[in-house]
Amino acid sequence: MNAALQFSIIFGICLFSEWISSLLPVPFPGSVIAMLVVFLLLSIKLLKVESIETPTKLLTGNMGIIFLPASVGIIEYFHLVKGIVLQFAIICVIATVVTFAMTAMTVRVTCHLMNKNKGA
Amino acid sequence: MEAILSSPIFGLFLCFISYEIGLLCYKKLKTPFAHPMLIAVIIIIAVLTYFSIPYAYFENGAKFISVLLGPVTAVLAVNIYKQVELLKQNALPIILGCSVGSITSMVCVIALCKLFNIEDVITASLFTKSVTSAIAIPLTEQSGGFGSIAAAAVMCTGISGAVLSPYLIKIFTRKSGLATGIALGTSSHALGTAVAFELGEVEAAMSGLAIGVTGLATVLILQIVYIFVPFY
Repeated sequence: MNAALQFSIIFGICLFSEWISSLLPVPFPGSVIAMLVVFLLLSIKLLKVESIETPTKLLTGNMGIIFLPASVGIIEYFHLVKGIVLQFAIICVIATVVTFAMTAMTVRVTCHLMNKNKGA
Repeated sequence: MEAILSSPIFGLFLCFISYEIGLLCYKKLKTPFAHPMLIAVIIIIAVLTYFSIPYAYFENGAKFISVLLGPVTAVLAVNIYKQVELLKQNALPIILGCSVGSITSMVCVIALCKLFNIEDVITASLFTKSVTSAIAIPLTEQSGGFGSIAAAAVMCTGISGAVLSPYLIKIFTRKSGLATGIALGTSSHALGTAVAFELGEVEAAMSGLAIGVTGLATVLILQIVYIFVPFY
């Protein structure tokens, strides 16, 4: 399958998902709906992994650069947090570390308990 | 000069060259603090500020890269699909991990904001900081916060998660690819997932999955909070 068709499939799914997103009562992004749609299509074998291989490799292989412009966007909002930059940064860093720790702990403890139950 | 700056190629060039310099520094310096994304962001902000180049000129080209944010999230499904067996076996730890992670993030924000005496409207803008910005911005605006502050918090969170990830993984997840992936995606959304892609297939799939599950959990939790705690 050529690249143009492969990209058409992905862009088509994204457009469809944006439309679904606009119909929802709560804010839920089209991109995450698109992820769900691709997953479903793969699961029911309507779509093959090979049929979207080119965009998959190209996009996931360059995630860093794709998120770069959005990160630079911080400077647009800098004036809003000017007086509390330090607090703002500290809150973000500490909350991220604690969230990582709690998530990791929850996953590990749950896995551990499940394995124990299986063994018993 | 105007001719160069106003071309969309300028923003594109600045993005690519800065990222490349970021990668080079990361390879040479071998410290997580020289994360390519962090270096690239600093270079771009420094260039724009030093030469007083309006952000709009940069955005003019950079928007072509940002258009791909949707499609890149969509194709994360391929990695999740390849790990579908792992997903089935570990559905409970994945859902619990993401939910506990979202709640932890919100509780942390409330506690720290209280500690620093931050205004309520800023606190409301930080609630959603561990989810992907596509969810965080509309959700924050719905709850009476500033979407733009939410966007800044999301990025600050993502970058700090990516930079600190080698230490966090060493301390908290040791050799569990499942826990590493879920924790990266839950705590620092897509930037965590970009790190996970360098670690392995399991980490990448689980991290991508965690973006979706955490986003969903955060939306649901906040809807429940609005119903029972009408403090806005």
